[in-house]
Amino acid sequence: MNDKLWFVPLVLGLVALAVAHYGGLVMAPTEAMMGEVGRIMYAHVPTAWTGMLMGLVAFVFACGSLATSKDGWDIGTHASVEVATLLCTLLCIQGALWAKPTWGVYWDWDPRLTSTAILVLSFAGVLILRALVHDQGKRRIVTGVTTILAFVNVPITYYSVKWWNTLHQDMSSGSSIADEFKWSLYLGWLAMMLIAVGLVGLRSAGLMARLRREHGETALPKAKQKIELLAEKGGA
Amino acid sequence: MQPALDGVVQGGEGFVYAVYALTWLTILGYTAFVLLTRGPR
Repeated sequence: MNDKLWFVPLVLGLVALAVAHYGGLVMAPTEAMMGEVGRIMYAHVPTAWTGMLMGLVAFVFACGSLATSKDGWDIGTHASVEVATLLCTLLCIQGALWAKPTWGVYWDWDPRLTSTAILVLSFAGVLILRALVHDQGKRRIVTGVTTILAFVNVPITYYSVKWWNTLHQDMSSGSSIADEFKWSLYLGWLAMMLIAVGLVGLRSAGLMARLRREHGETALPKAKQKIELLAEKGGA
Repeated sequence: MQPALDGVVQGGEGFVYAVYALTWLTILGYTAFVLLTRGPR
């Protein structure tokens, strides 16, 4: 696949996000209880949905990587874990900025917030561990296993508001949102998904090119040594 | 700005703009990082 094709979802996503955010900031009505602060939801909820889905994408890549031992799946795992980490970190900061005017505090060790923080730390842990392992075979296994372990927390985070008594509001879905709030929220989600897909694709292409360069650099001197050794043996 | 202890939250526009600005900064910042670290094609 041509790497440049990944720019299509990225650019479409950025345009759609601009429209969705204009809708959320300007066109959407003020929320009855949250007032103007309710507009944060048009940025926060799409980030949450996309961040969680990127965790699922990373899980699928990790399973594929362990099942096939192919570098493409491993690179996909790396790129999607990176995007999931970024979005979940952004999610926590957005949530803190919403919590201060509504709850009166930036942070509370509530089940949803705590499980999201653990998710950020565990995805970041996957990336740190990956960076510490230099052998590609071992790196693929370490990344695959730790990504699957980190993913276990995604459904826990999603259902935490159902399973435990929490300060965080219930999970947002089509049935819990009034029609006048929907389009901007769903367009924002579509935009974030397109951006995430574009970024995972572009990052994967970059990482794959780097891996090929590294393999090429290490394979070339070894091949040269082998030829020299054979030449020596032939001469003797 | 008042916390929502008595019902409707008043004010807080600064937090709204901060969230939107941070969202765009994060996305565009990471996009720049991805493009700058792609290396030679």
